[in-house]
Amino acid sequence: QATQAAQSQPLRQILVQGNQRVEADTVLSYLLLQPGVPVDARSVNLSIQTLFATGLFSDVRIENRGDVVVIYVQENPIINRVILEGNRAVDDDAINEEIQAQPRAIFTRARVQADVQRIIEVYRRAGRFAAQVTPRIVELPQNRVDLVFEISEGPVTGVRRVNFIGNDSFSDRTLRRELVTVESRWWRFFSTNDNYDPDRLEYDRELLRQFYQNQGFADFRTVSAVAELTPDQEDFYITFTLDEGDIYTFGDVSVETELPDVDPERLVQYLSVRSGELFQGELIEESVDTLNFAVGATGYAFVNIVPNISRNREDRTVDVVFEIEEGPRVYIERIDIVGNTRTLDHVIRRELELVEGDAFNRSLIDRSQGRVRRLGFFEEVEITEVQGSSPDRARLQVAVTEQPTGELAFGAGFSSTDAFLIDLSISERNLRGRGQFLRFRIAASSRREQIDIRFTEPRFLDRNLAAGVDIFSVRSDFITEASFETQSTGFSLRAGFPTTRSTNLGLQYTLRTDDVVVFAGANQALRNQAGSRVTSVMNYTLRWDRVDNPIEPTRGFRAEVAQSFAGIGGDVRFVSTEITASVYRPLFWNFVGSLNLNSGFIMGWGGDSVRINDRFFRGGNSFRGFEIAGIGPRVVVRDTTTGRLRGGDALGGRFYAIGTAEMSFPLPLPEQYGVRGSLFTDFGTLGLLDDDDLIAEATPGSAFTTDDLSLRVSSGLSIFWDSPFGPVRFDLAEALVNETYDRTEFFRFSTRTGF
Amino acid sequence: CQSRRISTETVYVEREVETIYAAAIEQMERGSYGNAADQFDEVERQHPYSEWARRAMLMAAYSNYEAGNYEEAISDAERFIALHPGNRSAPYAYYLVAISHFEQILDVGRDQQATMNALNALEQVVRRYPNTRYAQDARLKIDMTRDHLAGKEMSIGRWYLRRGFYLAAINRFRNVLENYETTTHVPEALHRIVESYVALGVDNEATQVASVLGYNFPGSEWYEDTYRLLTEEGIAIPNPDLQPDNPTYWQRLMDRLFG
Amino acid sequence: CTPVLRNHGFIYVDGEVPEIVPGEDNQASVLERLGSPSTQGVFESTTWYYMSDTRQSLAYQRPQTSYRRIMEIQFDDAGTVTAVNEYGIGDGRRVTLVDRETPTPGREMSVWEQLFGNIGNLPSEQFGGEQNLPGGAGGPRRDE
Repeated sequence: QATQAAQSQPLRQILVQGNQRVEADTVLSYLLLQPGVPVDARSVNLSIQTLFATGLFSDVRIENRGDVVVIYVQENPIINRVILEGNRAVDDDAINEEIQAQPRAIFTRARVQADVQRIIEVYRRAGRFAAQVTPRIVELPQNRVDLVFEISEGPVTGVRRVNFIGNDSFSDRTLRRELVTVESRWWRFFSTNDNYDPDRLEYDRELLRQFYQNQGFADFRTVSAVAELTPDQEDFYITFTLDEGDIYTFGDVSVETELPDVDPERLVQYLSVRSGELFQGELIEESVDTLNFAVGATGYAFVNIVPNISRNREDRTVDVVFEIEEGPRVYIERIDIVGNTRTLDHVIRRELELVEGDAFNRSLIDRSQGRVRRLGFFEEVEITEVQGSSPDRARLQVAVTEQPTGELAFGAGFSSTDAFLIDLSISERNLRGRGQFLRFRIAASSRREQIDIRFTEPRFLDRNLAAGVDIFSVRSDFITEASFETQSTGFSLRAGFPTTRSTNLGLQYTLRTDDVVVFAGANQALRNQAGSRVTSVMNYTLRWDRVDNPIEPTRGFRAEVAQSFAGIGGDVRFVSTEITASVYRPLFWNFVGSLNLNSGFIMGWGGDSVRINDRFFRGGNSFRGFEIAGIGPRVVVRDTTTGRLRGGDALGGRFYAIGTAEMSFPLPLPEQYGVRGSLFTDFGTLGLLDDDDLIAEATPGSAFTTDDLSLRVSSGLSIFWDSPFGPVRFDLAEALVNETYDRTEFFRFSTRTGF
Repeated sequence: CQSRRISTETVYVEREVETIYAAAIEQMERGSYGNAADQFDEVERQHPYSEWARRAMLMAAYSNYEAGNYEEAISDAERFIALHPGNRSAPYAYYLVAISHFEQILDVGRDQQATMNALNALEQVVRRYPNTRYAQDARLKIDMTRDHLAGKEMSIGRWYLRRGFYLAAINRFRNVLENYETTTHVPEALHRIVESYVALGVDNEATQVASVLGYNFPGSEWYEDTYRLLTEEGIAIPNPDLQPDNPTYWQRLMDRLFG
Repeated sequence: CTPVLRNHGFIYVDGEVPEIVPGEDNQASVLERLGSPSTQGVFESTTWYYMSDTRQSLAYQRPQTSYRRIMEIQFDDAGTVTAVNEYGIGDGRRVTLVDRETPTPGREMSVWEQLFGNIGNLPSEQFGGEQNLPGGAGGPRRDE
């Protein structure tokens, strides 16, 4: 507090007292008073304020003795140590990163209060809302203090159950899958999404709205999202009360614009919104996108497209009018990419739909942001626009935050066929910041060992063409079923590209040596197929995918045609074609019906017959109710007394056709167990051997080969359980129609877990 | 204040300031800069008001720099500047901040934030203490950082050029000419503009840029490439001694480097 | 499969090219009708260019420029238009670009380094790092 300066003579001298650590001239440098200049109250006050603002001093007094001014300063103490007590759930480093108080920093009351708030915020994010923090100071000599934060953490407030009221069109499980908040499970110790967090609840309400808006519920409202504490105060029950409202369909859809020579009728057909169809929020955004582009193509790059939606409750239709207005004519002069400490600039820039010099177009910017996000290398991607060097110029900044893209995965599994299965893989999705994928994998089970290296460049030769190379060495053991074992080592080159929005074409060339080792007791035909041969095979695969959800399809169809041609070089010559097609339709009460057909045919050429390791074997997962290689041609012996055929080694076949009709349904168990069942029937056949593989029945009781393409049918029940450790599958199947020599199997079980 | 038992694991020994300082120096001489930095911090923590504390703060910054933890070096040096702006070693503190940023520069394919920070810090050193030896080294490093930033512009320009986005490429190369005209990338920028305009078919622009390249960098490989390109495409090459309207490239380049 | 079309660079208002008359129009009128130029002459700011092109990309093929129009407007020192030239896709040429690049320091992360995690940044010697200047990285001399 400045004492009053009565007379204002020029100042001769300024003295600084009470400073210990801070040098006198540092204090002087902050002062507004200069020797030789008269002292006035205003400059004194300002000096005091600036000195306080430095945060160095707890008290500042200026005494004016006419021509000498004395400045008394009391320095803030220095923090000697910061001690955290009572923090168990959150460790010291996590807290120390958040707070400003550090050893050797200056102690001020304001900073300590701010730090208390920061620690509480850390606990809130960790799901502990009842945490309290009290700071305390321990005085030390030489104006130093120890700062102690006493923390009482309080209980973890997790989420015990999420319930829904009023959801008659969708099951709790489907809705729960849409939310980010998940129910606390003891195995979800890593995830923090199972802690109660009010902000996340708000976000969940938005997710629910989007979900319902896409299923036709235009009037959908989340009436309330209530979290009540469980009696034992440990967790919260969260209840969403929903008002679904009615299902709407699109009413009349129109485009309005005053722009000359943009003809609305033509544009209407571009829209993905069709009157009469189910109301879906997404389609509206999609239509805005297509309109933006369609209008852009006719020379109007600067347009704003505003869809205004009006509901008419009585006939439950939604009318949508897309208004096209002229926007400002702005160009993008520069695109800067920041935050990419690992990924190379061009790996991001090539995903952008815009180029420097292009017209500013909002939907292309959003689409670019989506594409960069889909790279999967970044936690966040944010494209913001900044005013450019002139009014009609803008500058885009693409800000990314990198995230680790390397992964070490370890999987273990157990199945009735493969006994014990483990695999270990290390992979990197953004190799050298170039967006390339590299994976080393070692997989071993009782029947198969595999080591492979896979490398993929997503944008080969700067084109929309993914190319890759695989090097592999696989040993598979069919001794028990077909008394042979193959060891194939080789490499393959592959390339894939989208041909249209839902179809893509994959090309692959593989060169491998197949070493077939035959069990001593095998029949002569098999024995002369032993030895190693080089296979050089070209393959193309055309995929057509129109399914609504790739993991659990409920509607749509999928088809794939793959043809391989071996014989350009190498000693093996064959042509093989395989087709798979599946159709999915939702039935009643959340049941999903699916029909699946797959068929394959392989044929040697140039006089070659198809060797055993290239032939098809069916059974096990591919034909439930039968063991691995359980159906198809086989070496048999006729039992002289009963005339029944006793089956020996399987021989595989050059043709197979298998169909499956399946109906999957939710089980009456509570949903969060994630158990689903399905009734199925598999039907089909496998057969057709080359002549020189056939052995006639020379004398009764001697072994001969059977190859009759007879129909096999099985049906049964499968249970899928998406257990905490990974997917588990049980198959119970009864072979209804089969050959006596086929090998049937009633029960099959398999699981895999990875982390 | 009430007496409280301070938890045992953070026992620290109050040691004489000279012994800690000596221990720190000894660590530094042995080359283990990380521990040296911790020891210097200890000096400042236990005896914040001693004369040694001020020196220890700067030495801690330097040790952190040598140990490669640049963020700590920067925060220590900045704390020194905040507490002792007038001190005789302040220029060195500013310099230390600058070279700590400088060491974190990533290659041109990646984010250049560190390069920008280094450039600003180096320019501060030159502005505040122009005739110290730190400023002289800072000027050299400024040219390096500007060259690096120009390198980034060129790499993006080339990326656009290779994909046929000539307008975007031309503007990137022009940016190099306007904002980084003293860097080693100027001849290439000129040649790339000639390549772009030849590809576009706008010959008068191509010939004009070619003549400036010829005039200012007659011996450079880039002029040879331009010369070959123009002759291949049958475009008349203006005689190199045509007086370009701003001949200052060469003089400015010369006096900047050897001024 | 249908090719994807995309416009780049300058967009003419509702598709047609406005009439710029040498002698009558000046920089202000051109600015008002066309907006600022896509780029200017590298060394003469009295030449303005308005460049626009349309590119076609089909599946995996490299996108092709199917249409390009460059309008070159030259002004005299007083700012009135002296000449307007047009360049189309026809004037374009295939140019083999020189693949030499002016070197910039900084090294690629080696495959192992990336796979096994330590992100190496720019070693100082790339920049002639060892500052042999007195008081440089050598630290303040003891006698200070």
